[in-house]
Amino acid sequence: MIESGFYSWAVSNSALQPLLGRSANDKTQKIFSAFYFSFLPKNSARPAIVLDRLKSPDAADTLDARTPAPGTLIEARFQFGSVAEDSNENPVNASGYLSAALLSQALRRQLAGLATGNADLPDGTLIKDVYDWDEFDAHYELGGDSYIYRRIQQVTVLFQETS
Amino acid sequence: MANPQAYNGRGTVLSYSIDSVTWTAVPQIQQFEPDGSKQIMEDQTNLSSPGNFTQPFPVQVDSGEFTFSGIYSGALAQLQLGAYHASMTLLYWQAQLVDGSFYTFQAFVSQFKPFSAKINKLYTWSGKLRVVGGIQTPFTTFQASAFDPLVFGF
Repeated sequence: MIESGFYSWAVSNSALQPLLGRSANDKTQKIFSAFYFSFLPKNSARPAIVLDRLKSPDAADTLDARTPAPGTLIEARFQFGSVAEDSNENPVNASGYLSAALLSQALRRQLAGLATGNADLPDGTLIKDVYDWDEFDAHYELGGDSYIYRRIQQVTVLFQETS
Repeated sequence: MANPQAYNGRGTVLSYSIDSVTWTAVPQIQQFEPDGSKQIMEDQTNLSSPGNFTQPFPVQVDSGEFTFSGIYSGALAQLQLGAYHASMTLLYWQAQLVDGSFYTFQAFVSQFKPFSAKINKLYTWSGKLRVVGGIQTPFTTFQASAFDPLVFGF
């Protein structure tokens, strides 16, 4: 499934790893896990990426009868939220806003690197193309003890699941 | 009043055959349709014609073309149509609708676009079929006597 593929890809990506926050426990174990689905958990490690699927129509549907077999070509719209807060432990920048922007920039570049026409995610999902970007800021939110900044990145991904 | 009877396109099959015995389904097409049969009219209006309007007279019927388009896959059944186009081969065709009815006809692959590559789009392919003679529908049959038997083999 592409969501789990994105998770594995992001937390193991050498360009994104240094920008992702880690919990104290994660630091001990050198685990990068600041990648969340749908919502940002309370007191979670930040900077972090929050992933949402916005839509995912079948890109190659034809008159032919279908089967339940995997391999459907999906043209999905994903939303990656790069979230950070002031006074975080991001080694690159202490500003929450700039940390979010920096993570979003790196994420965009790494996602663009998947647009080879034939890229694989760790779960085996085949990425056929990545395009149609939109990147913008969400309004800041009040966190537990600081402001939370979020830069949204929406992108269309043409992919084929293999299982 | 009865509920309306309607059908969706899914499962509609367009097939071709070189001998009308072995049929090959055209794979991965997203739409196909006849442009529509048309009568060729002669204007027989003359000084004796009644009224103020022209008096057309149908002299021939032209079954026209079929257009089709779909997702390119490089499947042999797609590529073969390009070969039949190049060799100007007259093929048998049948459209099987999901209500169980068949429409059959003979046609040349008069236009063939093997692929189309565009940024942010899937490869597509398309073509046109030039119908020779009439289209046999569930209701009517070929009007064989109207055509040259040497060409159509009736």
